Amino acid sequence: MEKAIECIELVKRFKDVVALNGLTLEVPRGRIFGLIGPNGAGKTTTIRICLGLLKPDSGEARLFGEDPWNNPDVKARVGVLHEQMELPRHIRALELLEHVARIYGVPEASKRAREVLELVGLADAANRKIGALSAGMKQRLCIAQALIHEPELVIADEPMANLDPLGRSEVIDLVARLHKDEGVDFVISSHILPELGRICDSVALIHEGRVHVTGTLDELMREFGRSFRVSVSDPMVLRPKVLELSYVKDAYISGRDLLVEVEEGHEDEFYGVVRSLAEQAGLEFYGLESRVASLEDLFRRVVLGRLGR
Amino acid sequence: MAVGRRWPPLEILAMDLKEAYRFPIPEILAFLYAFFPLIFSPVAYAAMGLEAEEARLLIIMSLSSSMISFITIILILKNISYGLANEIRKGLVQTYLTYPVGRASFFLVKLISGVLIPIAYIVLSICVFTGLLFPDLALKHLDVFLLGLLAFVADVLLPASLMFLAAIAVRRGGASLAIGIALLFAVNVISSILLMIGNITGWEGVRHVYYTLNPLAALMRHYSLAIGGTPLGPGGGAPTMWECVAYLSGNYAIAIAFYVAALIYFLRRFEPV
Repeated sequence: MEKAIECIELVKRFKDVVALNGLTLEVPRGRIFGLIGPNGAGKTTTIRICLGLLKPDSGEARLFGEDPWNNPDVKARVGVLHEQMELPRHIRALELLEHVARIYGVPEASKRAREVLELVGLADAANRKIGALSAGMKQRLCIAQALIHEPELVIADEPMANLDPLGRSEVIDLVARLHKDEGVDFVISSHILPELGRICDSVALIHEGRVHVTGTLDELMREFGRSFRVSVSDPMVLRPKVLELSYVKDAYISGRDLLVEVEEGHEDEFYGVVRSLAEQAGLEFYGLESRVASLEDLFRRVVLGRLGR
Repeated sequence: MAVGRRWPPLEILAMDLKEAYRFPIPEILAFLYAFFPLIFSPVAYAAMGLEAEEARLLIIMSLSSSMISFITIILILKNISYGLANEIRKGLVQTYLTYPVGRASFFLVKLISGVLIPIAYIVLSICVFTGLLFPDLALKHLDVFLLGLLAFVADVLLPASLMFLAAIAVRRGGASLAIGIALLFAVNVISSILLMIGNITGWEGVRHVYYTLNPLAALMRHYSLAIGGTPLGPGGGAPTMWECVAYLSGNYAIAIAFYVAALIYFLRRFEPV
């Protein structure tokens, strides 16, 4: 099966900073794939290498099986939304989309430009100069230019940035609809994990220039199993005691609570002992909440959990 | 969606021109390129007293282009040294390179909008001015007119090539602008030093280098064009016509080499972020 993106042992340095440190990643076709990770993890660098904008120091990146460097044919199959994307400021929104449509060879460029403006809710701003658009409107325009040629794959770096909650929700719905109805694949890098968790079917967690966890959400949730939110007077005291339990996979502090991940099948056992563990430690026990692991849990475990140990 | 792309760089060029030459920039440029040759026209008539017709033609062209060469250099500094470097820094070049446009085509687009269009302005201005006021002279000595035109273009093309290379290497509008201005001064200072050394020593090698950097001076020297009775250019004999052609070719070869170096860097290593 053709892979949308394939990165093999990518290394990229910017002077003394190692942005990618042997990153290996595969994005299959037919997915909404999320790239998650903290700031400076290497998500944007990975995307830029995959688009042929940066050259890796070593390793290899392939977009639809081809080297993306100076490769217009493979870029024609992709729609791109960069983080804080710069557009020419003195031309009008509709004009820009008409030009972009013609670059991609879209028939009836003007009609299609109006369609996508309508799609992203910018029909009223068609004749406004780009420099006069608000940050949110500009973001919508960037989304429009990425979708104008009905690409096979959309690569979006922080597509929800600058959007209000309603705008984010609209983008999420749009992505889900385009994927379902028109078969458009997406690779989305975002910090906004709850929204990403709503639409992605696969994710890769990038941290310190490497992929730490990757897979479908089902696989990852199975692996991470259920987690518990334990409210006690001092979670720092309870944490080492909980980690002594053989079936506890991880425990980390979240605010004033302790989040505990347990192996599948041991939930009832944990439920039975956690209160007595707290009491033996002289802590006040406020409550216990069972929850399904989320992208945030995954993120915390890889990025923060390791620091907490 | 069905793909039947016409040449995509044309669309990038259209967007680039709308940005770089938006109202009222072309209108102001058209005015300046018409205004300065016209205010120098009375002086040009005074040149009709010169003996050699070729010398008359060259001085007329020189007068018509004196201020507009300066304006052209300013325009290139704005488009390339400041504009292109800033576009790289802010991410507009990254946006354009995200579209299905080859790097060589994109390079050509920037060359057209940043350098070749300002040069077209200067060529058009000289042609219109000379053609309107002295059509017979220009037609009678068409070879001199064309060589002179190429020499005027060379005066702009070589510094522009250095500015282009600096802009894509430096990527910061302010720094690139400062380097562009410094390069302009450097070229002029080097020419002056060469002229001085040539006059003092009479060395042939210095003369060749000077005329290669300033093919217009070689052409003027060839026709013994003098200012205040002093022949232009370093000491020694006047260059022959073939030498003038060789100097001109050498100048273009150097400029083209710089553009090719910029292109190779752009194709192989340039990262627009």
